[in-house]
Parts: sequence; structure tokens; C-alpha cells
Amino acid sequence: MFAQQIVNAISLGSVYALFALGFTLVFGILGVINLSHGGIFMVGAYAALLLLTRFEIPFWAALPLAMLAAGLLGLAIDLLILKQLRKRGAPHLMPMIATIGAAILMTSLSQGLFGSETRRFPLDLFDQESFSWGPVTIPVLQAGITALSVLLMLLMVWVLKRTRIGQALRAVAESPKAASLLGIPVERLFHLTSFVAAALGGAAGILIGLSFDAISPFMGQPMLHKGIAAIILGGLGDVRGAVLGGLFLGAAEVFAVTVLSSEYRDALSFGLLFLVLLWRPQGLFGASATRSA
Amino acid sequence: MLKLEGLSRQFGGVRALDDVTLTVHPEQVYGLIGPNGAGKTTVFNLVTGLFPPTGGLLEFDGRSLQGVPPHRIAQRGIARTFQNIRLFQEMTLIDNVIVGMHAHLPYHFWDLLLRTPAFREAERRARARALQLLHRVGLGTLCEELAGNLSYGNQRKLEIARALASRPRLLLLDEPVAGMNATEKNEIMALIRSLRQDRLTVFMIEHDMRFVMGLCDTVAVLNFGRIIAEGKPAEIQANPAVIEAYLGQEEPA
Repeated sequence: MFAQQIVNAISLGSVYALFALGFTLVFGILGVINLSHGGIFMVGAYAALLLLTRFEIPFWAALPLAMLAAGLLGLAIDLLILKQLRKRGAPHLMPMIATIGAAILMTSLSQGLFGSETRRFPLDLFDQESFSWGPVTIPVLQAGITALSVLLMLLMVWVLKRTRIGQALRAVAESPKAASLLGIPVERLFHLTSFVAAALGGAAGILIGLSFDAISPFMGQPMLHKGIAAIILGGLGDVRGAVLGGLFLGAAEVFAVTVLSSEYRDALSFGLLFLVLLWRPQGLFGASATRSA
Repeated sequence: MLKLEGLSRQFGGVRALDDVTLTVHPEQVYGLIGPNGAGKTTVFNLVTGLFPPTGGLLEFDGRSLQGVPPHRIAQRGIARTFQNIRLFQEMTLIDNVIVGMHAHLPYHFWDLLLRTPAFREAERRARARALQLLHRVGLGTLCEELAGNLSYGNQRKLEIARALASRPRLLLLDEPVAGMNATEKNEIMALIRSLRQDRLTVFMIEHDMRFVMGLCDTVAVLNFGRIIAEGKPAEIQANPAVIEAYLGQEEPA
């Protein structure tokens, strides 16, 4: 029973972590909180649904295509909203308000285009088999979701830690001004970050849609709250922190459901978040959320 | 090499720079001095494209720098250090220097993903050159240390190494020896002399008179946003307007 819950916690937590990773990348590198990340997450799920049902594309191709669509949406938000605000040197609240607007627009459009009712991915997409391992049962689908999230996260960490683009991104995260004076094309890296973060957000949308077997125009908002919780918990802008924050939140939810009941899930997990922040206001890993302009 | 003509910059109603004209010639060490708040760092910020001038001309190698973004200016061959140090504190020394080379390193995704032999070779050479630059400024033995752990003087040296990494033709140094002790100052002086021998042009802001007078070929004095004198160090030291504006406090006539 306990082992089973751990497996469930890791599975749910890894998707939260994937969502939070994109969210924290944008904060760490662009220095803005992009509150349309939940909307992008939802659009990713619908894009995959559309590709699977309307165009009857197989899942292995629909997933990267839907991620591409989500990524392009993120890029468009950067070009049309965030870049315009950067050029004007707008204060920090402006991109937050503007991206809330973008999220509302996305939700309304999806409602208009796809209807408000909950949709689901085609049922016969995956076989319903499970692995059994002692007392633990892992459905193939759940294992696949977890593996994919972990794979995408490892890929991101590798890019950030081991590649030259990653090094440039870390430089921009510390000081965009110094980075640009060293010849690093900061604006281009902002676009790239927005694209990659949104593609990860879109992937998380697809995986959550699969895992809960539900897609709706309103799925972005609660996820956004979890994403904010996860990155604050981990320490704003910190990649490891976002991953661990996501896993922690997933675990808290699974145990809340096990110990109490599902009604108390969010109350307990956000209550835990509150307690952690009383103890460590900078988050579990945040040195401090400052940077030199 | 670098030409400023009638350059001005206003912040709101304040005229930070007013009709500044000066020319830095190739292979020169050019010093810009002046009291605090005279607008010296503003000159550097305009040259590096951090913000645009409100009037006047700015030319590097005969080409206008008007409207060119900072990273392009860096790629054209201008590098700088900061008065308030701007290192990447959470990176190692060697990584800080390698970041400085980005302007000249390829940015192709396929290179990164496929790790082609040519790419590996370029990476290896980048590291070797970074190490060489660290040795040149006297930090070779600390190359795997985090930049944030360095002493103040060593952070300034690392900033110079990082600026040199982009192979600039013009190096802007904003108070390179501020906060350094006499030994460190002499090391930096020797370093700048050796850079000049490598045909690098240096444009620096500095308060330390012994340092400026000992190194610079030409010195300009900025006061309240205007150039009040320009000439050889000896001429500047003898200029009554300069003595009144600036040196007067230190050398009562």
C-alpha cells in the first residue's frame, strides 16, 4: 500500500515538476512570471487531442507536434507581449497582468472552439496492461507518463549544465546586462527560453490529460497554482528546486488523498506549502531570488 | 578607432553628458578622469550600447554605433569591465571566461546535439585559451573556484580576463584598480602595458592619478558632463582648469 502510494506520488509529481520546470525557466532567465503558462499547458493538451482525433495522427507523432504548437504559442506570447513590455522597461507587475489576460483569452477561445465540456483522449490509445512488482502495480500508461516527464527533465538539465547554450542561459539568468555586453544574443535566448518552456508546459498538459483522462478549457488555472506553489517551494528560478517542488507537491497530494480524502487534497498540500515557507521563506533551494540587473 | 562627436545624454531633465567630443586612436591607452558624478560611466554605457545617446555621433572603426544592440557592439570588438563588478558569481572562473568567448563561438544546435569532432575540438581550444587568459591575469591556479569566492582584487582581474576572452580590439576598463592594494595595482599596470604591446587599444576610467599618469598616452577630463581638457598626462597635470575642477583638492597650488 505504502509502496504503491510512493509510485503514484512520483508519477504525479514528475508531471508537476515538468510543468514547474518550464515556469521556473522563464522566471529565472526572462525575470518575469508568465501567468499564461497554465493556458499554454491547456492548449498543449487540446493540440494533441485535435491531432489524434481530427487528423488521426499516431500518438508518437502527435506528442512532439503538440509540443511544437505549444512552443510556438509561447514564442508568440514572448514576441507580442513580453518583448513589447521589455522594450518599454515596464515594471514587474505589467507582464503578470498581461499574461493573465493572455491566459483568459486562451481559455475563452478553447471554450468557443471545443466547448466547455470535459473531453478525453481516445480510449484505445494505450493498452490497459500493468506491470506488477510485488505489492506495487504500475499501469503501462502511468509508467510511460513518468518516464517521459523524467526524460524531458533530464534533457533540460543536461542542456543547461553541459552545453554552451545552457552556459549562456545561466549567464543571462545571473545578469542579462553583463551577458549582452559579452556578445551573448540575449533577446534570442529569451525567445528560445519562451519556446522551450512552453513546449514543456504543453507536454505536461498532454501527460496530465492522459493521466486524469480529462481535458477541459479550465484545466490550466489549477495547474498554474500548483506550478507557482512548486517553484516557490523549490526556490524561484532554480531548476532543481522546481523539480523537487513538483515532486513534493505530487507526494503531498497523493498522501492527502490517502490519509484524509480527496476533498482535502488541495487544502493539505497548500497548507504544507505554507508551513515550508514559514520555515524557509527563500524556498528549499533558493539562495535568494535576486539578481543584478 | 573610437570617435565621439558632440555626444550628449539626458536623463529626464538632467544633462549627464553635454557635447562630448573625443577620439581614441588605435593602440593608445586613453584615460578618462573627472570627479564623481561627472558622467564617465555614462560615456561607457553609451559606447557599449546599454542606452542610446540623446544627441551626437558615435563611431567605431568608421562605422556608426547608432542603434546597434549591445551584443552586436561586443561582437564588433568592444569589451568592457564594470565599476561595480558584474561577474557570474555562481560559475567557476574558467566558465566565466568561456562565457566571454560566446561572441565568437558557433551556436548551431546540431553541433551541440551531435557533438561533432569539430565542435569538441573548438570546446577544447576554448578551455585551453580560457586557462591561458586566467594565467595571464594571475588567476590560473584558481580556475575551478567559484567566482563569488574571490577577493575583490581578484574579481577585478577575472573581469579583465573575461573581457579579453572575446578578443576585443578596444577594451573599456571602468576603474580597474578601485579597491586594490599597491601590489595588485602594479600587477594590473604591468598587465595593461603588456596588452598594449599586443596592440590592444585601452580606454579607461580611473581615479588613481599615479596609475592614470603612469599608463595613459592621452587623458581627457570630464566635469559636469563636459570635457574641460584633453592632452598628454603632463599637460593635464599643469592645466589650471583641471587643477581647479579636480586635482586642486589634492594638490593645493
